[in-house]
Formats: sequence, structure tokens, C-alpha cells
Amino acid sequence: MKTVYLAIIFWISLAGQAQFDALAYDFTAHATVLQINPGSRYGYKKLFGLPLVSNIQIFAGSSGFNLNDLFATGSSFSSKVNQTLKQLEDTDFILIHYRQDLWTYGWTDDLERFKYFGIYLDFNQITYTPVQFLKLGLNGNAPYIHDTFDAKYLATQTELIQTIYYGVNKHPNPDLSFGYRFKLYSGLAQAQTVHNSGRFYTTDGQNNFYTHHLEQVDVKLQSSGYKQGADWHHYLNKFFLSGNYGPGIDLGISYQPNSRMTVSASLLDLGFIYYTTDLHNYYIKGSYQFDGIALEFPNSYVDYWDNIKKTFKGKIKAAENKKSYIVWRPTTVYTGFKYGIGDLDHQKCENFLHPKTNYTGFIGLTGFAQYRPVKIHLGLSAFYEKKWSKHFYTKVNLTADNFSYDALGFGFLYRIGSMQFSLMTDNLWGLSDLAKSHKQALQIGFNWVK
Amino acid sequence: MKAFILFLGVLFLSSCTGKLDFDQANQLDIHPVIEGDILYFDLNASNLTDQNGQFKSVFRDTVSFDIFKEGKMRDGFEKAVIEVAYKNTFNRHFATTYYFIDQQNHPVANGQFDINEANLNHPEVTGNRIFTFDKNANPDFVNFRKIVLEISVSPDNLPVEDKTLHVQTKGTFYMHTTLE
Repeated sequence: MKTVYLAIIFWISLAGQAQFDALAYDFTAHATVLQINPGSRYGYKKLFGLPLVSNIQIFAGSSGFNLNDLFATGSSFSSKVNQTLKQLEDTDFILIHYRQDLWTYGWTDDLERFKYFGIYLDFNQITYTPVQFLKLGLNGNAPYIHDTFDAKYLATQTELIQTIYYGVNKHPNPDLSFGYRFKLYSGLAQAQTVHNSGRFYTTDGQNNFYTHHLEQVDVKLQSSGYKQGADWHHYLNKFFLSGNYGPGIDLGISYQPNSRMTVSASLLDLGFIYYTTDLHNYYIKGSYQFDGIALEFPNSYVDYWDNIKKTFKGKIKAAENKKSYIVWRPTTVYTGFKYGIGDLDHQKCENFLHPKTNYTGFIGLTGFAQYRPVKIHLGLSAFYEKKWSKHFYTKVNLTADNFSYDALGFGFLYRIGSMQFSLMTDNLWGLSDLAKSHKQALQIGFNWVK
Repeated sequence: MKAFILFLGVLFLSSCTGKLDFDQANQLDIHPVIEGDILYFDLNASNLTDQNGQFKSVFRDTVSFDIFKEGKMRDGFEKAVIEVAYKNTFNRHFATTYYFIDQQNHPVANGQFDINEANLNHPEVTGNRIFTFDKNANPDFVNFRKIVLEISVSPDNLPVEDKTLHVQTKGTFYMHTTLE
């Protein structure tokens, strides 16, 4: 039980739209579907998200290794670490996401536009695994004497953000719907080292065996949100007025070229946050070469190392400052294709504006692309959605993304009266052995809809 | 609906994890091997005579080394391999010694080798020497804090020719430590 607990803690502790949310995308009966595509064919007239529990998402994933790779019993820990490093790439990463909607409310106006607003908190943590540097630390430089170590893979980003939004979803005609959502981000805490550059490498030398190069190094660490000696009042005030703000926008569209087919797309979190408070920034910048100490055979003692230190400090500048900085949000693009199968549903349907969309089943594909510090994350999912009754919907999907190629996801919506309960979980196979899972995701929500 | 709830309940309740041992994270043995340049020098004709034009038969220089100042480095040290490469175009013989000196200026190890003189048949003499210092064979090696390099040239009355001696030195340090 202890290992189960620790495994769960690991996945949780490894923590926008942080990752591929294929199950919720275009699941039009879902009360909070507009969060993923503001242009979905939304069918409800009113929405009231239960405070704190209207939408809770937890995601943790590691693209390059799992717990079993490191902590399985059997062979020595050292050999497992080395084996894991062999299978890792510099672009592998660990991602954690936690989102909690604090409150949301929506209504339909006289022009049949659905308007909604709300507030949510989200925590994101992404760390790339700089394999070359890890190997350098564990094995020394001798095995990699002519390799290049690129600082761009030194990348990690952690943020706690509060977002207030206001969105509109429109249906100008029965075939088309679109929507937009304005956001105001408030950065509560942030720390990152991203977009670093520079290389460390060794070449055969002229003066000595080698020449060791630090070339155009530009590494920075930026943070906002921590103030030394501050008490809880400070952080409570920052929760409401962080001083770090930025605008954002989400866009979405859904088009139905015929009664069975729907194509859709959304663009999320096109925006940034400007961090201005409680700043601590550090940077290292410059170039330097070293090929050993050149002996001069002087008449008196020369402190060669002191000379080298002075030269190094002159060429590689290390400093700190409190300059404001901008962090772009992880802008995400979804695309979707959906095809109605089965029978037309003649019941009084959820999608009250567009009864022709109400087939009892859908199959389709969902694509995903997300801007991240080192590379763009991609995903593709195939799904089957089934309406069992007015109150009960299910969706299963099979997803390939940076974490796995065969993640089976399952979600359902169930209504009791006007209260909709949603539960979605990705990578069901992983539940059979969390230690071998590369990702787990869970979303639950309680929303009053009409 | 009941079937689905039952299915999900079974699914979540039956979720488990294989046998893991997180305590083993305290047993990470690493064997880093650090390789890099140490020193080099060039001697030419002007180096072999002093300000008064007198022949210098001994050259000596000292470089401090703090690599073993840290206890963890001393504890983790296993072996050092010092490799020297030289190229001599002087028609003179050089006796070269690397002294590894502790804080009390006592040598804890040394590496000695000769560099033969060039001649008409061999206008350029090149060579490599490797010195291995093992902690088991010489536990005091980790006490060295500086390297003293001494070069001796046999004096003669011949004019110093316009030639060079180039010497390169690198070190490979084998370590073993357990990260806790």
C-alpha cells in the first residue's frame, strides 16, 4: 500500500490547458466543453458550476521513463538509472497539471448567444530531462569527450495561475457555431529556466590535448512570487491582487457540412503574463575556452588559477537582477472531425438548437498541438461517443501522444435532474500498474445545467 | 448505468502498482571519470638563457591544485592517469619530473621521464608518457595540493639553437561515490 501511495504522490507531485484533453474536446453534452473549444455546438441554456468542484483536472505524465524503470526491485538502482538514461532523450519531459475551477456561470441571452464567465486556478510544472547533462553528472566528461552539451535542453517551468474569463458562444446558423473567450491571467507564482542557449564541448587542441569550450552561453533563471521574510498576509493579498497580469484569448469554431459530419478547431491560451512583483532573476552569459595552464617558468611564483578565475569572470558574466519579464502561455490548438452514426435521436435533445446533430453515436478524430519551451507537443486521438439516454453519455478514445501510443481513455456524463456529473480518465491500461504508466489523467465535475 | 458505475468502481479500486522500492534511491553508485587538460608549455631559445645570456640548466614552475581539497573528492578518488606528450626539436636532452607536493611541501608522488635530443636523422622527437596513480597503491596521492614541474638540461658551451620543446599534459581522474 505504501508503494501505491508513493506512486500516486509521485504522479501528483510531478504537477491552462496543460495537456491533451481529448476526451472532453467536442463532447458537446459536457457542461464544460466550451473550456476546450469555445466554438463547440453548445446546447445548454444555463450553466452553474458548483463552486470548487465544477471542473477538477489532474494530469501527470513522463514521456521518457516510468516509476518501474527506476524503482522496481531486482537489479541495482545504479544500473536502472543508467539504463533509464540510455532510453531518455533530451526532449523527454515530465509534466504535471492541476486545474480547479473555482466558479463558473453561464446563460443564454435573447439572441440565443450563450455567455459565461468564471474563474479557475491552475498549476503547471514541466521539466525536460537534459539527458546529456545528467550523463555528464553521473559519468563525468571522459566518455563524452567530443560530444556537445546544449543548454537549450536545460528547461523547466513552474507556475500557479489564476484566470478570470468571459466567453460567448454563438450559433449564427444551424451549420455553424463559433465562440471566443477573453481571459485575464493573474500569475501568483512562477519560476523558470527556459529558452537557454549555449554549448559546452571539447575539441582536439593545439596547445594541449584538448580545448574545452563554453560557447555563447546564455542561461537564465527567472522567478516571481517569493518574497523573503514575507508573512501569509502578503501571499493572501497576492492571491487577489498578484500584480502579475496578462491578457489572453481563446477561439473556437465548429462547422457541420452535412447532417452527420462536424469539423471543428480551437485555439486556446493565446496570451501572456507580465511578471512584475517579487522578482529574482539570475543569469550567466559569455564564452570561454580552456586548454590548461600555460607555464611561464617565471622567477617568482605566479598564481595561475587566480589568473584563470579572473579571466573566466571577465568572459562569463554571472549576475542577478529584478527585471520584469513576460511568459507566454502554452498556446494550444485542437482540431476535430466527428461523424454521426447510429440512429437519429428523436427525444427532446440536449442540443436544443440543432436537433439534426443528435445521432446516438459518433466516431471521430481529435488532433492536438501545444507550444512548449523546447518543442511542440503533438497528439492524435480516435474516439467513439455514445448517447445511451438523455441523461447518460459515454466516450472512449485511443490516444497517441508524447507519453504513449495506445492510451485508452474513458469518460461519462450522467445527469440527475439538472445536475450533471462528469468523470473522465485517460490511460485505463495504466491503472492496472501505475508504476509502469507513463501518464494518468482524471477529470471530474459537478455542474447544474438546463 | 449501474453497470458502468460498477465497472468504474472495480477499475479504480483494482488499480495497483508493481512492487517498488523507493529506499533504493539512497544507493546510487556513480563512477564519474573526469578528463581534462592540466598544463602545457613551450621552451624556445630565449628560455634557455637568462637576462645576462647565461645558459639555464634547470627550469622549475609550480601550479596549485585544489581538486582534492574537498573531502568528498578525496574519499571518492580511485585513480588518476596523467598523460604527457612532447615534441622536441632541440638537439639537447631534457630530464623532466612532475612532483606532486602536499601542503607541507613534501612530494607524495612523482613522474619522471627523459626527452631525447633531436638529431639530423630525427629532427623532431615526439613521445608520450603515461603515469598512473592508484589510491590503493599510494593513499597519500590525494594529499597533493600542487604540481612542481622541473626540467633539467645538460649544460654545454655550444650556442643555443633556435628550436622548441613543446609539452602537453592532461589528467583523467576516476572517481567512485554513492549519492545519498
